[in-house]
Amino acid sequence: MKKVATLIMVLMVVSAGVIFSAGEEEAVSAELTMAGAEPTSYTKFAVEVGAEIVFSGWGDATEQQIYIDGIERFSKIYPGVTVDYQPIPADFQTKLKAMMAGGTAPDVFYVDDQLMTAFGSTGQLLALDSYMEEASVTREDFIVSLLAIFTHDENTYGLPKDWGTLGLVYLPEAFEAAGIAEPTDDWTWDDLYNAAKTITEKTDYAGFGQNADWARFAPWAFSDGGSYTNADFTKATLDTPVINKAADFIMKMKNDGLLVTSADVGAGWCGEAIGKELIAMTYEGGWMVNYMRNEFPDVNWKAVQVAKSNAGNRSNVIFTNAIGVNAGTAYPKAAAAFTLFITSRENQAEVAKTGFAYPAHPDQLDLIIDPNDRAISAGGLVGKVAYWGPNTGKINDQVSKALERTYLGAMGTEDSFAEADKKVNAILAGE
Amino acid sequence: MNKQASLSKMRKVEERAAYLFLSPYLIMTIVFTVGMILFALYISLHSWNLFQSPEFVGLDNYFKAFRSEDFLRGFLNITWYTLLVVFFQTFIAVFMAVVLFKPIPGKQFFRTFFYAPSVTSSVVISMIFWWMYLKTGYVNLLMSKVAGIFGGEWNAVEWLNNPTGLFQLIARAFGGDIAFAQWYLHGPSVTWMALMVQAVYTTSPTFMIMFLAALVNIPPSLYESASIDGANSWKQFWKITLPMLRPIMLLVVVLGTMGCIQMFDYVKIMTAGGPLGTTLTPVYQIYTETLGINGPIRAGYGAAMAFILAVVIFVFTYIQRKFIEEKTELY
Amino acid sequence: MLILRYLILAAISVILFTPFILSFLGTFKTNIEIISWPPKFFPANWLWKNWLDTWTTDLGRGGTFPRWLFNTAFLAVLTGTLQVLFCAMGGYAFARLKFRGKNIIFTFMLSSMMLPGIVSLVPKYVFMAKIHLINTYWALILPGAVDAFGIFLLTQYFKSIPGELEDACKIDGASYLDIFRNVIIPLSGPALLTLFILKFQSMWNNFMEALLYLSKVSMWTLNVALMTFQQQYQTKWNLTLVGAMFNAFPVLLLFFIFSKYYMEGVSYSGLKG
Repeated sequence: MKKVATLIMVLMVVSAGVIFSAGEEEAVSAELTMAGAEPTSYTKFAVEVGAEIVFSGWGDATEQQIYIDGIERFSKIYPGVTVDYQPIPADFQTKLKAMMAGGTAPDVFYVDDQLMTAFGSTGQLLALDSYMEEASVTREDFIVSLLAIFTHDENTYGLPKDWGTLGLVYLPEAFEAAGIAEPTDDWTWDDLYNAAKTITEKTDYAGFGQNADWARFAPWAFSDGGSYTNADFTKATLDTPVINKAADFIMKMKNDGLLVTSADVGAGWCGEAIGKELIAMTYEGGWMVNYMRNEFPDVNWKAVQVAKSNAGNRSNVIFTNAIGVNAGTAYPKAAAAFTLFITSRENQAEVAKTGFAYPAHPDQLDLIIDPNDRAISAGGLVGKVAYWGPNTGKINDQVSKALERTYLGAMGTEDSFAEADKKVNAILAGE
Repeated sequence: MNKQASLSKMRKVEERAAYLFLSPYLIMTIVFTVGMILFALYISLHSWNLFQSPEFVGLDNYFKAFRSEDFLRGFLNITWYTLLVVFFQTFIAVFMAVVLFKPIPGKQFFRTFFYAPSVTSSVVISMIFWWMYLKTGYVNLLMSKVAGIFGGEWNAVEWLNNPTGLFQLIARAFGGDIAFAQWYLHGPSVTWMALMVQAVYTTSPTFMIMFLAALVNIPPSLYESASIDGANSWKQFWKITLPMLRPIMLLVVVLGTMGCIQMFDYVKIMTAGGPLGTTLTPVYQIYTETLGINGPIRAGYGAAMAFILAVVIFVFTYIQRKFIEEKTELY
Repeated sequence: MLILRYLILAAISVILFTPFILSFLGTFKTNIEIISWPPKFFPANWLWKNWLDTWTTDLGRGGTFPRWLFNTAFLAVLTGTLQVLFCAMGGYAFARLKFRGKNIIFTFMLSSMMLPGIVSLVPKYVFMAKIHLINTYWALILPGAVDAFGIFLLTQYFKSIPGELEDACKIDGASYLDIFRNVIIPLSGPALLTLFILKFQSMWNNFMEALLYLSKVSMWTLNVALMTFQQQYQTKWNLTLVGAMFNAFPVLLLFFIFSKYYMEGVSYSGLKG
């Protein structure tokens, strides 16, 4: 026993020597020169000499590879800038907030609505507008609705790296089994209802899958002009006829047995229920493409745009994340240059080739290769980002809770959304 | 006189020894803990977003917590949770330890099997319990089989999405009901109780090994003389084992209480507080507020809720110490 | 009677060990097999590849699986050992010695466990950054070397040790250090072992601190690295389960090896020898 203990102690001391040898980076003086000249359409500008920037994002190995490749392309244009990529595999926002408070945050990082809420109004992000001007990039180069989240006091604090939306995802085999035509881009809610009814009656598939979730509810709610709050985010607009009509329609489908949740059919989420061939239709997004390819390569599935309301209007929900720069960076120019490059047409075109994400430039949508991705993305531009100011998360959560109450039959739609309206107003009042 | 002087010298030596023995803890706690607690107390009186300088707001954060329906709801939920989980996990842990302590060939294997749930990752445990609790899952399957034996029928329950409270169920069994708005009378919901089962399952083995280590210290001679006196093993358990386990019982109950009241990982992974807020816990709210998970960061508000919670735990613990520890010795 | 006891033990074992077996078998399945309902017990094809894929994970910049395993083992063994040493010292003081302020310090120690840790997550990070411990293992080792939990645990055990032996030693003129070394430590093997196992396990499974304090891929611990297998819509369950095995197995093995020390009277006989 004693010998073993001694051995362990010796090993620990030796390995401690190995481990604690990690060094600190030293600061480099910030002289400016023009970076090396490589032929490209991308407009460069002068950055700090010897700049070393740290870049962090989330993502699995595939996503990490995309950014490793992007950094390589960047270093061809700016050979003088070193980019240290430090992915954060989980709890990204929590770690970023702690790092920012501790003054150790990366120079460049992903920004989502949660981080924008925390950093945007508290001066932790660098306004990118002057650097955009230097690089001849305008806000109009991006799909403008994506920028809504990342704009505060008319400054741009993040540039969208990609975006996503929802489409009507379905299993052709279910429609064949029921003997009815497959969905089209022109479908209305009633078409969807009728198809779900026929499929539910004639086949073993459940008609339509949707959980009590604010995002999946958004295409229904937004179509005829509904919204979760008013335009300046000061008042809830959940207790309105438009929202009630959308919720009533969903509840009618549910009460008629045409709408099921993923748990009802034994799946973790509705995309998985499609993969397991349990439901005929659902609203899901571009993540389905790689998911189905990896997990259910033998299942044939298709997508069209989400259904129009019975009044003939369509809307959708848009998800987006951006790249932003730490206001406290030692190399603001290099960091801005990197951000501008990663979100540029040149780089997003390369990312689009991998089928990983939709480019955030409106003229690049034809670069989307997969037919299902094309179908889903086509219905996205009419949509909007479900962003309601700093309380976005709580407000969306109240919508999910309102749906949960109605799903469980604890309240009628009208009462439930009236309650959510009351709660959202309380949240907006700072309670 | 001389005797007293040497006595006081002895006390000095003892005191110095005590502080020397405690010094590693004292140094670490002064560096890492004392400051943090004082800082949290300071922050609880301020409005703070982590990045800009805190703004003094007095006791507002505390008032806000008491006015928050979600916070009160979380408190009620966690009280049910703590009462039931601490009772069952302690009971089961003692049972498992006693069963495993008696010599039997292959004991080492059984002990390892018994310990397995506490080393299986919470993600994996959650996934397996999710299977169990599905509408089409094993629990419903088993219940319908059992009901079949008694000639009844079992309506499949969605265990992880059922807000019906225990007292509601009882009221309904007698033909009554409790109104939806009177949530405080509903008792723990079906989903909440399902999570309790999951928690007891994973924590009992941890406490089991604490009891195992304590059983070792009971001198075998006590049992020997007891059996000579003709006490059966049931009597021996009550007269010898339990009293000897008293300090560890306190340890397990106090640690269990603290763990239960601060529970939020299964809530985060499996229910996010739903359905209808019946699995909301105070620490889950402290987490979302302090770190701004779905809104602005309100670290001061989070700290205020944490202190309210700490005071409640303190009271609980104090009562437990009074009850479990014999004599007047406080610790 | 023996058969009855075996039946009871076996029944409980089945209930408690099945999740572990299921997840072990899951490591050889495809993702689809794992999430399919109703679940099948055995994999259709034994995919040893999952283990190989996990083992050969390489995120570049020194982020390889063996390295993560080494980091984690190093931290777990070191903090487990330090905990046993320092908490035994503190526990001895509380359980056996009289000193001024004892009641206050003990109450403070218990109280310090009552404040949810999440509150001081960010302030603690800021503090660690101020004293330049970010991206060093010290940020995990120092606060993990001794804590209220461990001292409370050992205090309670030491109290349950009969005091006669020490009284005898005291009369012989032994110092407190002698008593600590020669009486308390040898008598509380199982308790120290329990603390070691619990602390080894908690560092082995540590996630939040490791995620916050260690940014370099080469410095990651196992649990942080395993999160790269779990993304919102793309959880690689099979690789996650392989990872979970690396989480669970060392602790279980440790417990298996040492569980024979949890034996009746072992401490007393140990003292005589």
